[in-house]
Amino acid sequence: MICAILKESFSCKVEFMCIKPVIELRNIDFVYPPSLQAKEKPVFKGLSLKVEQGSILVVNGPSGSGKTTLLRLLSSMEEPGGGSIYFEGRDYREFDPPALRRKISMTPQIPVMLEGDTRRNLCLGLNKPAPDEALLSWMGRFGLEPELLGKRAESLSVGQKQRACVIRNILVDPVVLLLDEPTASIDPASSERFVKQMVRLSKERGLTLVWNSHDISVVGPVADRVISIDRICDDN
Amino acid sequence: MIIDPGWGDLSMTVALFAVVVALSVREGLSVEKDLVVATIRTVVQLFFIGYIIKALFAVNTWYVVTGALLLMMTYAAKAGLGRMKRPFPGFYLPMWVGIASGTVFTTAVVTGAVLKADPWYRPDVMIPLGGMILGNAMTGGAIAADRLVTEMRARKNEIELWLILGRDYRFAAREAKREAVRAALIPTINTMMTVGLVHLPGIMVGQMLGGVEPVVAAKYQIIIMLMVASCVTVASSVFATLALKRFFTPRQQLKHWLID
Repeated sequence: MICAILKESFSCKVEFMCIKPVIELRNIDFVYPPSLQAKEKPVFKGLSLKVEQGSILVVNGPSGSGKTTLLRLLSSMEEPGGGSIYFEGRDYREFDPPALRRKISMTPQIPVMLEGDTRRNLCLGLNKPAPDEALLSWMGRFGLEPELLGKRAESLSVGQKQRACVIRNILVDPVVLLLDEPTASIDPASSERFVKQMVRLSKERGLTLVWNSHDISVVGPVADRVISIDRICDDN
Repeated sequence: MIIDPGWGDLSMTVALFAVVVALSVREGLSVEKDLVVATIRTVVQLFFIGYIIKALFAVNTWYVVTGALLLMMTYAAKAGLGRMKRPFPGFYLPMWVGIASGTVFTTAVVTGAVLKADPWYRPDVMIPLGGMILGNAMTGGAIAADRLVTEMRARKNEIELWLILGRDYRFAAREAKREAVRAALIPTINTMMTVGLVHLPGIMVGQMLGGVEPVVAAKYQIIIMLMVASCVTVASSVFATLALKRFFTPRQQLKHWLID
């Protein structure tokens, strides 16, 4: 039996405990179904967690501990085998999945860009393209040069793509933003800038951030809470 | 003037078969056994169906004709899926509905509006045409099924991206569906491009050998080509539309474990 255990590393702002949770997980069990490539893979058993409105929650843990799975559960890209997840007090199952995913938006660790220029890729989540001024303003905030707007998105570096993906999610105007190792391929200076922008955004919009990071030295200092996921193995 | 080959004449085709086997042995193709089995099956199956159709022609009732077509559809759906490189769970019903839709729509138009068969179930029209349409619908459905799985696998990240951005599963997988239908249609379009120039289709040749005037045979061939295009398009589109749902959970989550 393999399952992940969750530990509260530290809580910076105790007052957040009194605020209504925007997302709540109650007794979540999750097992990856068997595929051709891999056997059935249990990940969580009895996981409970509250994410407070407007907070920055950092999820820390080694590779393979289940951090990405946690974000996929939160974004409704995976279905728990047991337990319930609540968004603003309502069970996830009461929501239309596409509508829920627009409110709880996830940026995957591996950035995905489709054919076309950066402009098109930034606007994929919108019903009609945003004006260039707005796109350039967001790009500037995240340290992306204006000339990248008309460039083929596939030709961007991984770090640039990661930031473009975050902007794409922000443009959807979510209530919760789930970030999976967003600074993994960004240099330290850009990482610092990225963190500052995210904190600013969280404050400006009351945006809740759930931030996966295997290295909390960058994002830890600005977090309201840091939790760790460790894997325990028990062959019995 | 119809040339009816006698049993002795028919046995002369063994010469063709002997050449094929000899070539297989000489070139080390190791398909002799398959060729023997395939030849025996061809002979047995065609004679069998020849006698069955002869019996059906004699019965001449709508329920027997409809029942025969329904049976053929059921087998065609199974056979179509059997051609897939890797079976995918839950494809049978979409395949059956796809083949049935393509067959019913195309057969109805051809027998009703083009050939004006009277009565509508005329077995000598309905069975051969329905069978031909079914066969093509099955081939189209099989190509679409294989391609759909391949495209869903190749576009997994793209599909998940659309889902994450709040699009529904139909939108997220629409490119995979388009490619599957396109792949099913390509052989038909290629044939239509070259028909009459590079090759004469078997049916046109058969009709001319049967004493039909070449222009009349050409008219029939035109009907058949458009009929094939129609049934393949309808069958593969309906199949892909219904099959798409099998890749997602009721909560519109991609069943990535089925395509990983």
